[in-house]
Amino acid sequence: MPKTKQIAATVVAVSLIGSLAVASGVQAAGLSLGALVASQCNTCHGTDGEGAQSVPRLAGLDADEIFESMKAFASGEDTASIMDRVAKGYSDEQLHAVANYYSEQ
Amino acid sequence: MNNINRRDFVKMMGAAGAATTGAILLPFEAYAGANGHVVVVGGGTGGATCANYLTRWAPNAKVTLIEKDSKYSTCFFSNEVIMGMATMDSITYGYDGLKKRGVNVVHDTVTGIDTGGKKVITGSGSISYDILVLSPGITFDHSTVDGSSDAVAEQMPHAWKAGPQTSLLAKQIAGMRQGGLLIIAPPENPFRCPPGPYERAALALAHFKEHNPTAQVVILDAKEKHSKQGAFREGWTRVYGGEATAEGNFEGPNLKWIKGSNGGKVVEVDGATNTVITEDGEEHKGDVVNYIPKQVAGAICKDAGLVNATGWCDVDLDFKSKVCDIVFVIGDASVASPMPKSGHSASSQAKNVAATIAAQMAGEEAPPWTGSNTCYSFISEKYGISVVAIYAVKDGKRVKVKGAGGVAFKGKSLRHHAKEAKYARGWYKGITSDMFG
Repeated sequence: MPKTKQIAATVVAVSLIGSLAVASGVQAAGLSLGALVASQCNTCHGTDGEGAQSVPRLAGLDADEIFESMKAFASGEDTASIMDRVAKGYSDEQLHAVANYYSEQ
Repeated sequence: MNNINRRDFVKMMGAAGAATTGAILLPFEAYAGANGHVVVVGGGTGGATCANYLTRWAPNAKVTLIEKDSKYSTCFFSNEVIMGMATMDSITYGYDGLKKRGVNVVHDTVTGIDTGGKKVITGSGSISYDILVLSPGITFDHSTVDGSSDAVAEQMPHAWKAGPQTSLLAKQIAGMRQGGLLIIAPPENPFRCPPGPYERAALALAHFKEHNPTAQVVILDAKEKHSKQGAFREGWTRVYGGEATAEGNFEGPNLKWIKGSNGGKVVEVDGATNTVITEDGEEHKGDVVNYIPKQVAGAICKDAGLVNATGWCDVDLDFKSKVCDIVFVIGDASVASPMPKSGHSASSQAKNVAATIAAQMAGEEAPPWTGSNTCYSFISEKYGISVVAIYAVKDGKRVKVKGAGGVAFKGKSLRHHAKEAKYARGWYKGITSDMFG
């Protein structure tokens, strides 16, 4: 997660738990479903989906585009060498979460 | 051996936590660990990836990574180095990226773990931890094959830990006499990188085709079948010729695979004569012998009392040791079934464990556990195959998600396999960036 995102997540978390938490230095992780699912994709697609040589960049892509691509891989509408086998492993909730996560990178 | 559970851990951490806050805003357990010290032992795929993701997801935690060597060579892609297709430098990394991310990297040898006192004993002292992640990889178990020893590996390199062993086997292959015999002897399951020996055989054929066209490769297997067998056989046949035999072996112009019950199982090795003896009493003398010994969890796991009767570490669904639940064990050392002992599995587990620790420290629930494995192998530099699986926790068990994953072969085009080879190289870039920052 880029530094700015960490700070943003911290601000949200801290504002939810109140000012005493700020004084105590407690920081919530704010780890999202999308971030954890994306971490699995990062193994091929590079940290934060930055792309890794032949494996495409996902960071900054439109969330709907990522979601629809995954659905098309899973259904067989789009042919793939490997993503068809991957896409079938995730629920719509997971796919929406990971698509949103990458779109915000 | 002391069993320390989370309740004890919270109790120990609690006093200090309450004194500084004056008020408890989060669950007590969460505060107890908010600025905790996570020590990760082992700077390979599991350990390095876990440390990297902890810096992202638990930014208040102090993260120490203990690794004996200042450089790490990846096992994956080391078969290319052995066959002269890549250099050691191209698979070797330092830890500066992790240091820049704030990981305290300590190069030292771990000699013991005091789970009661929550200390890792090192060659130069001790390091206290609040949470310990062990990713020590494998150690060799020489007890089941006569003559097997660490010393034998100097004559018959296993090259199953990348580094000097990789270079030694590469040198032997490059110097093998024309028409010589390379014996590859993989162990019984479970072992690190189940498809590795068969990729090694394939890339040996690719190397020999160019440099030593009459050389022979024989795989003497302890097993009856092996990882990605269908895809390997199809690939071997298409690229190098040959077919399955009536007895269940595989035979090609330059390659033989002999299954365990057909005389493939090695029971004795003699490094002095470069000879292995199989269960049927047959002696096989190779010009180069790549004997890969049986494996168990990294030695430190046994020393700490964390292994089961088979030498591996039982873990729960979060990869906490079943012996001591403030110790996580990830990577090859863990019993992670149905996940294989692959680099990708270790990476997947490392991120889930980082998420669990980060959430625990923040007093939150971690997102649902989600695992993955994508394991590529090369038949040649332009022919890749892969096995894929996605994992989830269902009804209290770690399972493969039905309908997903598998191995793509049976008549897939050469273009398909060329793409897999291309993506394998991208995967390498991705997984190593996740490890070393």
